[in-house]
Amino acid sequence: MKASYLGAMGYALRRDFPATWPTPPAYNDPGLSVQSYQDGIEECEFAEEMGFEWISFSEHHYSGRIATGTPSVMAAAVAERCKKARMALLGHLLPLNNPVRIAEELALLDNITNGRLVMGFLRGTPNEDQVYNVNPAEGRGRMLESMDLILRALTETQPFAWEGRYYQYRTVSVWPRPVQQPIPPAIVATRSDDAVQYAATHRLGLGVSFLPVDDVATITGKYFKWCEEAGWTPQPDEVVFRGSIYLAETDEKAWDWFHRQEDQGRARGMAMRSSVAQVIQAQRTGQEIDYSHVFAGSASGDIVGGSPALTFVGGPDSITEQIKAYHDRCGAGVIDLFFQQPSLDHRDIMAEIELFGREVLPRIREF
Amino acid sequence: MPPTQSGMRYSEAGSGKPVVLLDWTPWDTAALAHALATRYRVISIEPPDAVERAGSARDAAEAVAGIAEAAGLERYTLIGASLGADVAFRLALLRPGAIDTLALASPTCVAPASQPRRDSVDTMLAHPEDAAPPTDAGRTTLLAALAEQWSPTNSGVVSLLPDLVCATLVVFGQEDRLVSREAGGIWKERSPNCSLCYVYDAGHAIAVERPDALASVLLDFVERRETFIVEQHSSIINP
Repeated sequence: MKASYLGAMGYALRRDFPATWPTPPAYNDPGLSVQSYQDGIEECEFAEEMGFEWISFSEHHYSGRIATGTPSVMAAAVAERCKKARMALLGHLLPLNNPVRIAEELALLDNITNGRLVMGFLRGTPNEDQVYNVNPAEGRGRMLESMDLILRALTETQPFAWEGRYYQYRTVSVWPRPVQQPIPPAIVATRSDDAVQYAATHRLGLGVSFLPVDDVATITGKYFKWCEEAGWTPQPDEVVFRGSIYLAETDEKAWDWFHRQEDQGRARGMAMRSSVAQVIQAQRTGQEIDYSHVFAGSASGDIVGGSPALTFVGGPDSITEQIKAYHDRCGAGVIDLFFQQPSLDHRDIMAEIELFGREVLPRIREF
Repeated sequence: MPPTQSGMRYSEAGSGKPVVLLDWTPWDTAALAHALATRYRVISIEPPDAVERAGSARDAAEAVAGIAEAAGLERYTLIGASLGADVAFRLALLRPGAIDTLALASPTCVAPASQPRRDSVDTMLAHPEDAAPPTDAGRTTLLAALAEQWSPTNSGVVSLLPDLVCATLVVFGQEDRLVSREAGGIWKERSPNCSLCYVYDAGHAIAVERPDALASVLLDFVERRETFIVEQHSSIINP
């Protein structure tokens, strides 16, 4: 099994952010922001040094928690410092972006990394439908069409036009071509049956994030079944699980830290007003919306949502066992880990990476 | 109109610049002819009604040319779909001076898939579960037999592509299973004035699954030829 380090590039004072999304830019001090990115890049470098095989990046917007709205830019910067690890874009939020631009960025990254790119395609969390004004009802369709167009753009050797449902281009001719032919490894990050089926029938990898092991096993079970029906067997690197982690020297220390976070209300993640969240969800699922019942709510924002509890908590032995469960029961061959919990600073993260590289990574490689 | 000597029926609609349409798929997709007839004089020609008197693909192309000449057309736009695209391609080579603009939807004469089944809805459509099967089983069988009779050798056809000098649009459904994935690139690379388009979420019978998308790109190309790549729609939201 391989380990991947999520280069979240979180803002140093993210512990002070309000619970709601988006985070107002007023919370950002440019000087501290520069330092935060330098720290984040240093963490990536150190993760590679400690044996992480992949460095991953994820498109998230309007917050300093995962401060990589343009993940290709971040990956290009880190690729200049990390010369061995694969740069895994896990990934672009397809409904939000111009698919031809994504194809161009991916092809360029594969060139400047000399064939170390891993591509990831995903729809994004409900709040992110708001970033570039995408109708939540169209996210699924835009994602499916985007994948077809990106794969065509990366493999077609002659200029072409595209007559889609959501995208129309009359001249597509992506330059340069990817180094890895016919395409770099590609992961569809999803929980939805239609996208899992797409990955299986198109011989692409699968990524699942932040779910308990039983739920992930259900999703990967379908994937493996549909891959078999499509006549192929995914390799270990083609099944990726992303989870959040807090690793300490012992279980006791790790859980002490975790309970302190809960007491201080820091287990929450990005959240939205309930009215907005309900409307997004209704549009995503095609339900009727009665706007006469939409009210501003309480002065505090009447928020819902937030991140689930950490996926992995414990000392090295426990963490190894927890990761092994995803390998054994879900078929995950790559574990992509989010270390930058809100209350941790750069020094904490570096210590965790060192501990993981020394105590956990050598053991999970044996799986 | 009654069938000609080659067994081809044809009909005419609309007025304006002449367009000859060979929409030869198993489905009745008159919508394409209707869309074209809103702007052009459309002569819609049916495939030969029997394999026995169809002759070769070249014979079919000559027969189409004869119908166009009988209708008084000296120079016209030629559009073919599926097997009709293969015949349209041959006609464009036979009568280069007569063809003003050529549009080929789902031609199969270049890089055909191995053992394509034209009589199977599953191979003709990207989403067979969403479409009604063809109503005329006889037409399906006839077109499959004609395709068998006319099946070209790929290398021979590819060598002819540089001779295709008129403004040409080749359109494929993104999930066309009757040709290999490289077919579009070969057309584009070898034909000097060829534009290539993929229609998303469509298989071989594009007019069945994405009729509006096909009509849109064909009308735009017939009107503007290779300049159809230049955007004309305004993107102003609130002027």
